Amino acid sequence: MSMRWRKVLGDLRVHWRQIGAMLLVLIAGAAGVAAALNAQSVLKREIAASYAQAESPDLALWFEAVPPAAEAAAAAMEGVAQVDVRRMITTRIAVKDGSWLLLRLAIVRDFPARHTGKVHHHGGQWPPVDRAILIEQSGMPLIGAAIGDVVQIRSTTGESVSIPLAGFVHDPAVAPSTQERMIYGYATPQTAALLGASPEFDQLLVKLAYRGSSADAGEQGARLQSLLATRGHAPLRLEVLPAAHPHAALMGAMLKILGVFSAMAFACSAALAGFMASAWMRREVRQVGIMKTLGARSSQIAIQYLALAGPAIALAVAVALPLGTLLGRVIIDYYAVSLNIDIGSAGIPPELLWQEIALAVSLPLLAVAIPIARAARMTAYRAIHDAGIVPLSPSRLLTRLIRVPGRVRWSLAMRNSWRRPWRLMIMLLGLTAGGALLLTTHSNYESLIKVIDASLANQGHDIEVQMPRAAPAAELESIARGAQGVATAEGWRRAGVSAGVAAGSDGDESAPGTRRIALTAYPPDSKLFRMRVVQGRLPAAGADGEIIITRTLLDAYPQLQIGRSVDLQFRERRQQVQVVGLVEEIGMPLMYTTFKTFEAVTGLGDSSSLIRVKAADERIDAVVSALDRAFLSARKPPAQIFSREMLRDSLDEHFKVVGDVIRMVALGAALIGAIMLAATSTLNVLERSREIGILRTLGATPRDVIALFWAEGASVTLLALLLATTLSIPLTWLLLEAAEKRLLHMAVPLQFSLQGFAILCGGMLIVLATIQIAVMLGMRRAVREALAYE
Amino acid sequence: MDAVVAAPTNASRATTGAAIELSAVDKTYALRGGATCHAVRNLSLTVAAGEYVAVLGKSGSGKSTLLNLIAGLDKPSSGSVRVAGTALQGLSESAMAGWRGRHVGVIFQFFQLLPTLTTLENIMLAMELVGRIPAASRREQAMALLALVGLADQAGKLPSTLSGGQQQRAAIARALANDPPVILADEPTGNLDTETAADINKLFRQLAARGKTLFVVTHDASLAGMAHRTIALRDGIIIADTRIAGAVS
Repeated sequence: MSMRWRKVLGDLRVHWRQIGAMLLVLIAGAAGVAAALNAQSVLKREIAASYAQAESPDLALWFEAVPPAAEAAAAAMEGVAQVDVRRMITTRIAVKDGSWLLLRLAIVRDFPARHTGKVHHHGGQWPPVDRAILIEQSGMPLIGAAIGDVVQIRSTTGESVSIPLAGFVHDPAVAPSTQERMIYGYATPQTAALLGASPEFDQLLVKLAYRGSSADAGEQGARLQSLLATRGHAPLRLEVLPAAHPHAALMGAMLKILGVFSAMAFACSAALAGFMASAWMRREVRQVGIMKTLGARSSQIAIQYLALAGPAIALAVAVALPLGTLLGRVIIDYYAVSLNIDIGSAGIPPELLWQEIALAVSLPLLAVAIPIARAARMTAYRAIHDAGIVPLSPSRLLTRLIRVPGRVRWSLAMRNSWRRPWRLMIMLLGLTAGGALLLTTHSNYESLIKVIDASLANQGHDIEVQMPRAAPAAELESIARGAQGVATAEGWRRAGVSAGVAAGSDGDESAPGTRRIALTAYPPDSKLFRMRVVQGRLPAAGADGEIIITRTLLDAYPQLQIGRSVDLQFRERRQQVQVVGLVEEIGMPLMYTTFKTFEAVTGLGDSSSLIRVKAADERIDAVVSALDRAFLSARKPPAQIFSREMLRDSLDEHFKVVGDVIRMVALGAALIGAIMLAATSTLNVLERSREIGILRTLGATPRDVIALFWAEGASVTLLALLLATTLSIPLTWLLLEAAEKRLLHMAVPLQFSLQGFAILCGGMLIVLATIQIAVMLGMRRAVREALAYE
Repeated sequence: MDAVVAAPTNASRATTGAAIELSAVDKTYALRGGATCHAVRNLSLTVAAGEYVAVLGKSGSGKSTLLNLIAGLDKPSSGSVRVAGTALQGLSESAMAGWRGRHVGVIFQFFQLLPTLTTLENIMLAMELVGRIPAASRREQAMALLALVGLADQAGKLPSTLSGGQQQRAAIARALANDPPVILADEPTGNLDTETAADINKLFRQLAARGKTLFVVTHDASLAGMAHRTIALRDGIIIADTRIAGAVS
């Protein structure tokens, strides 16, 4: 073996701790990158595949009962890929905390032979026996029932019906029950009959061969509607169904977050490896000088040191990739649950594996090569006469600028912080990114919750009772007022209408015309209608044909501008109304109007299907139960009772999913920054051992030296805190703007989170404590050793 | 400026004639594989206050170990070291640092100025760490020391912009920052050219003339020739201790 390679082995033996530490850093970084990239690749593929597996229908045509001939005609139509039938029953199910949650029950004809809206077997019986129910698996933690148990479901007449839980299915086209606060059920027509519902299928579901825009799908639907009408099977109405998963935007955001995280993890681990190599080469400088004096060329020296780093990097990659794959599986599993998707395969494409290997090897190698090349290119004289103190010449400008009044030692600490600007920048980047994300998550959450709470508090009502069918308003109001804890109850009117911008207007008529929008009417002199008009005005008392819309509706259909005339269709009736105002309300897209206009549109007369209630009692849950009991006693079972707490909880769950992921990334980034700061402090102690020795020779006590390093760390930490806080404001603002447009459809003022700031300060204190420990460990070296340190 | 170095200070007067006293000092280092290295063997030595001592010897003779023991940078394996009236054994790290700052000025072969501080700030930092000189007068005293070593015009410069000789003079000024009675120098001219080394020699002679106790480890014959006394070491043992009459004067 040549002497040079003997030296390599000797170095490995002597510096095994340092090389081992570099190995650990590389493993952690490469594993993090592999985990994030694998997860991103698998999830991107599986999210699409999972939703595609469901074969979600594009159109729903509504009938009293779908005629078999209509089904056959639709199946034969050009451009139609699949047809199927179903009935959706909206009822309620008892869950484990004793409350009744909304149950969206799909009545299916033939489970194994389903062509569209497919669900997969998850456990228990498949296909389910008649007079039993299958539950979507994300509802498991809510219902708390096992396969074979009996669940309680409300019949159409309000009775509690015991139905056996046959098993669980996975429906990849729905959002998790835990987030939606809704259970999804699947059963045969016999179960529908058991619940008092019609066993007939009322929806003809159509899967198009090619799904273009909503307008394109609407056109195809209209052609099918006409075709069926000519064959004597005119549908009651046509609905264009959404073509994306309800959480598609959330999934996209999560994938982007993973991408950012992987890039950050990789850059930081490579930089840290570079720093460690740099510190190592500082120690080797004199040996470089000796070898050069003996005739070694720069390239020989560089190869010799790279020969030591190369296998370490290769070993790190060999360990990191399987570790990253395991970590990636954990991330994938977390996403699979929070997004309710099927993971068909967790395998990654081979080209990604090669890319990961190439990246994981090349970037750290490059980072390590820089300090090695720098040391190898040093002249023999300079290397041999290296004084031990890091000979970096700080910028004179910086030295002039950084001058702390009073004690010289603080100027020394501040200047030392800027001694390695690149190292400082990367460290600051990690800490700032982590801190900013963490603070953003908290500020974002608090801003959203504050605006939701304010909005819900401003609502005139606390509870909304939705009835399955309309009844005289006075009767429903009387029942509600009889319930304990009810202060005010008003019978409102609601009906699903189709809306189209009136002929002659320049909007796109087809899109809103194919979707059902709830038209809600408030009674004259309503005490519970307290919405603030943000644009335009309220419908004039006694005026005919004026409506106001929520911003949620306007964002979905921008053509419904104030001043525009809208054709509202209810069954066979058509009525033109005018949009006169805009209100902001959290919840579903709605149109509000007066009883007079509602009557003109629907002709339903004095019947109400919606009771809005103001509770006298603070315990809204108790009032909800009391209302439920009151309506059941009056044999008027409600379809749904929804309180503002339930809405808040549901929104809270959604925010938490996003917040948890951002928080995870923030912690990862902050952890990388903190590790870098602590590692850099340790490296600083190592690199500047002789400087420490000098300080101690000059009379500095260990406490003085620790204080200096601590001040250096504190200055970086405080700067990161300042930058993180500053950066979090525009970041929060951006997220809130997205939430305003896509989620809440109302203005969300930025709320700076003091709690987040306190957590951030706590984290920074931990970082400072880590620095202190690192410096104290480094200070254990005697002054003589410190002075002689090479 | 003269007030800083002209007269022996209270600290040096407090000694009973001896600035440095080593009694039966042994220093061994453990080597890998269980072997030991005997750097200093049963060494006893007394240096009077105001004496200028040059220590000579080949590499590995124990010169630097001896200097480290006197500076309190290292601890003897056995025996006692007493410098400027203080017995060093038993002092804690913090107490030792404080004592060193007040009583000993150390000059290194490679200058070891802190690169991020200006020449003036390097001296002021030494004053600040010890706290002996009032904060209000530190700048003035540091400037006086720089004037003494001929660097008054380089006060605001970073060490990297100074020549080797200038850096060593700045290091000497820093060693004098707290007016210590004892100055220890480890090969102070070892990294300098002949002309610059002569300047440093001159400076050392001035210090000796002003009552400082100088203990200089050197290979430089001209520097040793200026001392009151030369001590030759071999294998950790004093093999010659020669007093040179009128060497400095």
